Amino acid sequence: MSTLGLHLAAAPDFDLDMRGVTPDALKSRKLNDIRRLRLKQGRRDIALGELFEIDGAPGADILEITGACPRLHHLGAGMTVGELRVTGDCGAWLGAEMRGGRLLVRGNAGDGVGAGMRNGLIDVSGSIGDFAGAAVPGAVSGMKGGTILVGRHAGRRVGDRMRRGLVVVAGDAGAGCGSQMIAGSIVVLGTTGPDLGAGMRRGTIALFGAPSDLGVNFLPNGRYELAFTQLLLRHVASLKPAWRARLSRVASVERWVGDAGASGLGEILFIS
Amino acid sequence: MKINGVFIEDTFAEAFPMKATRLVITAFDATWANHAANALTGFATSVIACGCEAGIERQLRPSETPDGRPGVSVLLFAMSNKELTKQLQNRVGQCVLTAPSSACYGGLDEGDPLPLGKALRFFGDGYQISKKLGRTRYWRVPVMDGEFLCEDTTRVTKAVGGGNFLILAADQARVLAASERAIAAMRKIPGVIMPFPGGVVRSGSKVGSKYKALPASTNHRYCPTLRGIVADSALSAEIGAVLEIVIDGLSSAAIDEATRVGIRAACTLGTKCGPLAISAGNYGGSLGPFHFKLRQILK
Repeated sequence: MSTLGLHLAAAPDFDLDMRGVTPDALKSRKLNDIRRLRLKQGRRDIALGELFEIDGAPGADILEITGACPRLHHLGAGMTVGELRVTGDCGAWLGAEMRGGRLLVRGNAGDGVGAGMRNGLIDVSGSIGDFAGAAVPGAVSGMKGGTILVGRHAGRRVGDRMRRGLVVVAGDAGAGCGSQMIAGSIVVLGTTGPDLGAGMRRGTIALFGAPSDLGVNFLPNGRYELAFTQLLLRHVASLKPAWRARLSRVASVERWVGDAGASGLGEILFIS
Repeated sequence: MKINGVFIEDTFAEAFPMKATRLVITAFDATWANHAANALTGFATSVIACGCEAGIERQLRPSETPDGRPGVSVLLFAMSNKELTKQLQNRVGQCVLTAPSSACYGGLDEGDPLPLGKALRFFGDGYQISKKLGRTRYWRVPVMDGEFLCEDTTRVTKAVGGGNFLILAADQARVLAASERAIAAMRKIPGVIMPFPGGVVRSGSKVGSKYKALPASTNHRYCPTLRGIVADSALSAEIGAVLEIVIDGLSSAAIDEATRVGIRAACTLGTKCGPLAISAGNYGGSLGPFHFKLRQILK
């Protein structure tokens, strides 16, 4: 498959809104059109060609952005098909409201990764900020489908109000992981902070190790050998073969249910 | 044509189109997976009165199943999507959902979806949990030993039913020995089942009957006790017993291969200990569009 490359020559002075720079949006545009594409930069806008060097052929299925920096926000937001590869750190709202395709980042990302996404895959090799898979401003619920894979750590309130989909954090997750979850699944291979699953109504948070820091609204439900746990972890391993060894150490699961202050149908699985 | 002295009749097996699906049943160990699979495929020898034809395709290693537990692959064949749906719900609901530690998954990647867990989830009385991983939805239904995990749908594919061959021998001992050898070899072929008891049927049938209510009746031409009574007996004087192996397959190529392997295995016994001849059940083209020509398959 052909690739269209955008190389950020120098970090911009102001935050840059990258909405519209996606493989599907650029696929039907000619190179000159792509150069002239206007990007929001605060109250101004600026031509894409003034900031990025462009190489490759138009009509490509893969869009590759190199030299990215945290001033680039909304990278891959709303993309529907194709593959967006980003090298470097990204700003906020990476892959927000994504509808499909693959968004692969070699670097870190800011807050709101995959917020409100409905489908597709976001794979960040580094760490991400707060509210991954959460709701976009004004929305009632967070992500409604798709998968977010985080190679290192995630900030606060991963999956806040998420309704469907899967978030996997290979490192640690911050406070309020799975807060107000409506449904969906979160897997954390490292540790989690306080207020785990606070206010969750349904959904699954799967963790490795012994239970700790659970609020009084979570009740022990017993130890089981659930086929679902194996299914979930094998699914994650199929998405990220490099994590397979860490995901294969499953004997049984200690299940806690809650948050009793919400509907109480959520579950936290401690895998050991 | 002869194989190891066994005469191969110049005829063909006649088969008909069916709808089929594959299920993967897993459990705590292979014993419990087989309990579930055996119950599911029980009373499923012929669509004439069972609603579907079903059988165990093969045993699955933990590495081959979705949840990493031992499993069994099962094929179900019916005459229509509607009947297959009904059979799936009844059989999985009564035989797999009820089996301790079991889980049930669709085993085909392509085809129209038929409801599986989608219908059975209601057993959960509102406590069932929906989980979507990738493009696949699963249902977790609370049961007394934990959870019954079931894929939302299974895929249906066009298939072929009623492939067959007849083993003609001097007596029951020889025909059974040849049949057992054939079935043992055929069970290694993917995509086929032999739905009758032990894979073998003794009551081969023809289309129609002198009694108007019956759609099928005994294949009198191959009944040795009717030799000399019926004018069109197909059996020579030395034939004392005939058994039929019926094959349902996900494709005609799979039935070809199973037929070839089965006949060759039966013939390894030779005429002294095994069959004297191999034939096939055909109805002059009135039963179905798939014709499996024995001599062509065995070339």
